[in-house]
Amino acid sequence: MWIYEKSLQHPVKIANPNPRLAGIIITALGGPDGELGAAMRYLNQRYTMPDGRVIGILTDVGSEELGHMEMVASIVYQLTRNLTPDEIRAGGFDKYYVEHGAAIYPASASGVPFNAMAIASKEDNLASITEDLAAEQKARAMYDNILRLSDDPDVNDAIKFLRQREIVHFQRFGEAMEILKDKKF
Amino acid sequence: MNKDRLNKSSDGGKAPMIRNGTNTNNAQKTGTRTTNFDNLDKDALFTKIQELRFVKAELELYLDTHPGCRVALDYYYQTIDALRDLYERYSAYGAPLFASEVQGDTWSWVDNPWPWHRHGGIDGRGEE
Repeated sequence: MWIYEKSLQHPVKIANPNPRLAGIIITALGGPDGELGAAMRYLNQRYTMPDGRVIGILTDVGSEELGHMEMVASIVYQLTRNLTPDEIRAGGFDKYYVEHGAAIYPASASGVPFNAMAIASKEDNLASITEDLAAEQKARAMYDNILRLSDDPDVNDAIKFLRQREIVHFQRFGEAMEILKDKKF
Repeated sequence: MNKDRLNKSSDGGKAPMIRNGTNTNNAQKTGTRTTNFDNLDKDALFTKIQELRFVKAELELYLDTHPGCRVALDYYYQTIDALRDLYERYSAYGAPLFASEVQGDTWSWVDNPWPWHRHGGIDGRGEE
């Protein structure tokens, strides 16, 4: 079971609202390479894993991804405060706003609601870990794209932290793969 | 500290668990409420942890919508005091419930069983 800690893993303090950036960054929560999918992928893959070390890394990375959901949601929340209808229209945030207002909803930047088809969970554990390695690379690439589109240093500070975590997770999953191969699972 | 802790005869000063519970008759009948945990083995400790952390969860929900309820708040403080004691005792058995409770020379966090394993290991799935 889980325990909640009332703090973000890395601080999010954004000075300037920016609805256009919010509409892009929402994909890091509910898009195909987002943190919700990441958490669901790893936490659901754990059960049939044959080695405690691999279960451990999936548990702990999956739990960290729950914290990343909260960071991404905090970024979107802070980017969408005190918006006027004109700002919402000008920032292209109107399609999101009409359905959710400024509430947090897990969807991709193109408006597709979170879809579990973006994750995989196979009893073939090498297939699952290979999926995880790819997922971390895809998420890192998504954060690279966000950094290309954002010139807000407050946003970029948090996004760079999240991007770096994808790299660490990729490395740990690589070691999980070696554990499974060594034990010939 | 572990072995000593387990063999300690009494820690009399510990706050009794749930002194003023509303269901004391039932508690006496089932024996689920005690004033200390000295005689509990590992399984009994874990059962007690499950009970008290459920009490804790229920109180947290109640207090979220009744943050001014002093009775519930005192009950909560008693509960988490007792839980802290239980977690400390349980960690001495070398099967930590939290990663931060790992003790000793190896990272026993990754040892089987995990909560969904029925038989203390990975059920017929190739665990050596």
